[in-house]
Amino acid sequence: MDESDHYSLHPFVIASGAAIFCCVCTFWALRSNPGGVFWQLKRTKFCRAGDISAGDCDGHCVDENMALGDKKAVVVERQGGASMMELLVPEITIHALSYLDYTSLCRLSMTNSAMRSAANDDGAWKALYHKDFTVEQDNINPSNGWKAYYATTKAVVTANAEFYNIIRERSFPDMSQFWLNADYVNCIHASGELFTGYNAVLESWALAFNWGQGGGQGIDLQVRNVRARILGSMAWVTMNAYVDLDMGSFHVTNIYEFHHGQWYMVHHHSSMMLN
Amino acid sequence: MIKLVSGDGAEFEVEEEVAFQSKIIKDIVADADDVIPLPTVSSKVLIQVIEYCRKHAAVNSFPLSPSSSAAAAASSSSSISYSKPVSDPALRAWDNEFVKLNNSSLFDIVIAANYLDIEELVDLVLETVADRIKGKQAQEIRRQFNIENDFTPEEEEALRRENSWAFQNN
Repeated sequence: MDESDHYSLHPFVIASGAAIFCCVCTFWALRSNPGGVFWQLKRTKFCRAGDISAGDCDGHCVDENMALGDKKAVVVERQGGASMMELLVPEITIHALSYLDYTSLCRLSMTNSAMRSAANDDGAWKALYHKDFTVEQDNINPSNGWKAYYATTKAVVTANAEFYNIIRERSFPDMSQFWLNADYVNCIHASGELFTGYNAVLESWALAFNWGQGGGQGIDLQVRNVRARILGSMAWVTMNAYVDLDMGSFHVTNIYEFHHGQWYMVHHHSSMMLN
Repeated sequence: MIKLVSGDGAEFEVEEEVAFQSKIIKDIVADADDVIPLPTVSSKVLIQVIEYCRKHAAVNSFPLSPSSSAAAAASSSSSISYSKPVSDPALRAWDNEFVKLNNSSLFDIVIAANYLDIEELVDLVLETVADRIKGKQAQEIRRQFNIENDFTPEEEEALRRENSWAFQNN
């Protein structure tokens, strides 16, 4: 008997403390019966954007809570998971988004306006950029946000991978489309030779491809440590390239300019690595 | 034993090491008594959360307090005592079964787990939710999570253009 009294009194004592707090944190008051040892401890964690009427409920706590509570129940019943998804505290949403890849984040951002703002979150895209590309560039502040920077980086990295596919396939037509047709483009091959201007650069690639074909075998080419930095319509990419077994390892810098919707190579510099 | 009281008044007695899967309960018990009211957690959700904590307490049981009755908590396989949950294939398999729930149940659990600060459970549920989003078209995601499309056709077209970079096969 004594013990059960003890238990039934306990929530009441806590409730009186919680009643004060509920005027500060309306949203969570409606989710909980007053009784918040927890939300006194965890209030910073659980207060969220939904707390719009905070400070607005002096003396009306209970009525307002009940009204909102009913409304929420209806919403949940009607929409099931959806309303829940949109009601999650931002930190949970961000955490959930961290498990998504770029394609899924983009799909999610196209579902409705609430999901768009969640899935376009700058922090989520910055984290994804660090995961997929590089942990460098932590302090930069992309002018169009991290999603745009991610998209551009992906386009540049894809173009850069295409450059090596062209070399693997020895495709001269593709290589001629890949370079910007300008007199200031430069190509420094690992041999140390410098070629300047579109025609000279392309001739050097034609020679390299023909020479390679004499060898009668495809080029085994591995590219690692790709780092891309983009500013406006210019991008530079550094990487290590490993060619066959006996031909060695190279430090490479490629520079691209963006024209007419495409990234064009304007500079290629390859140097033998010191072993 | 610690008594947990759900929002709808149901009481659950659990062993300390089960309840202490929740960091916040651990903190509270240190300087309060052992009846913990959890007003925001319904009994339905609390039952599921306790089930999870019981399993993980059994597998995770570190020999921190020899007096604590780890055997009582270990309702099933307790052969592995020190392994981290993710690296334990049996527990991983158990977790995968545990999250075979509909989306709204998962959301209820993740809200409770976040509230109770049970990090591994939050991770588990959110990863599951993410897996249900991955690889789906926008329309499928809307259907799966009952997300109401509030875009105009013009906005949808703009969004398709804006995001087209992400759907090219490269």
